[in-house]
Amino acid sequence: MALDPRDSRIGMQQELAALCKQVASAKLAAIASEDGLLVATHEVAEPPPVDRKSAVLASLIALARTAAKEHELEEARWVVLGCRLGVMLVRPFGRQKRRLLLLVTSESVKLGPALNAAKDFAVRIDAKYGQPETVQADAVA
Amino acid sequence: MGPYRIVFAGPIGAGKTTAIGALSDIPPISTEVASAEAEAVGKQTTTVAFDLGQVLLENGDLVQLYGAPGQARFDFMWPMISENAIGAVILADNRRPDTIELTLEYVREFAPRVAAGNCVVGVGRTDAHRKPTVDDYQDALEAAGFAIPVMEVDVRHKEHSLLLLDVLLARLEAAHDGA
Repeated sequence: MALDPRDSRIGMQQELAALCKQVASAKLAAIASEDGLLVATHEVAEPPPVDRKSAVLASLIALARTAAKEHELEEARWVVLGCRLGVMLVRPFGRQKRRLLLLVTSESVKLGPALNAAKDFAVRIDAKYGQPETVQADAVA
Repeated sequence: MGPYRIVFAGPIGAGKTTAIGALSDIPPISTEVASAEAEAVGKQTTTVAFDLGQVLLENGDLVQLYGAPGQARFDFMWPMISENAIGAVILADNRRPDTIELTLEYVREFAPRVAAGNCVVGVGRTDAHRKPTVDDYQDALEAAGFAIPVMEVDVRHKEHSLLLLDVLLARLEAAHDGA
């Protein structure tokens, strides 16, 4: 049966909240579409679909991909932005529905565990919610 | 001389990426991704950072062509893209019922960001959508206080887009001569 977009958003919100608990000092976890629309955050509140931060994220990843291509490094798998007051991790994911995972920590974090947690999260979310709605509907038929 | 920077702006689907692709002498840099709003906006892909191409004009001027993302949520890119630009090509999509109002919005956004407010409006998809006419656009722009040339274009054709660049450069020269 095709997933109701609202149900999938709530499911993603719960997964994002669990990710926040898993990664020390995480203060924000969110999923956005590749074209800069907010899909879900770790908070229960329904996010506004048009969100400036998601648009900035989409541009950031697009520029990272351009940089990777210019240096012949192929696919950009991560962007890690180390800032004075924290770290931003961005991971594009999804085989069919391409999305962006954002994880923000409030202080320097051990990158290895955070990257692993985010990678596992992306695989899990893609398995659960990664199919286009039409494919799911076909699967039922 | 140069390189000069010219910005292509306008709503999603107006043809900014296509125009830069047609004009550029080099393979353009594109930041197009699949659109999550494809049904709503009638387009499968959308630009999320910028397009970048370049063209060497017959007079030897090198012009960098920057395409701005169309949606307002990407407006943080507009000042970066417009910095030091000598002009802006505002592309209009005549399929849209609100095309004149949208065009005015983009002119209001980009004219103050480029040298001497140097803009030109290119109206696309006029073959299947004759109205509004170029005169309608011109009247609306003049009523809003903008003396900006308007012309029909098919951005898939390099010569059409080159004409837009020629008009921009001619207006810039005229502004310098008059100063």
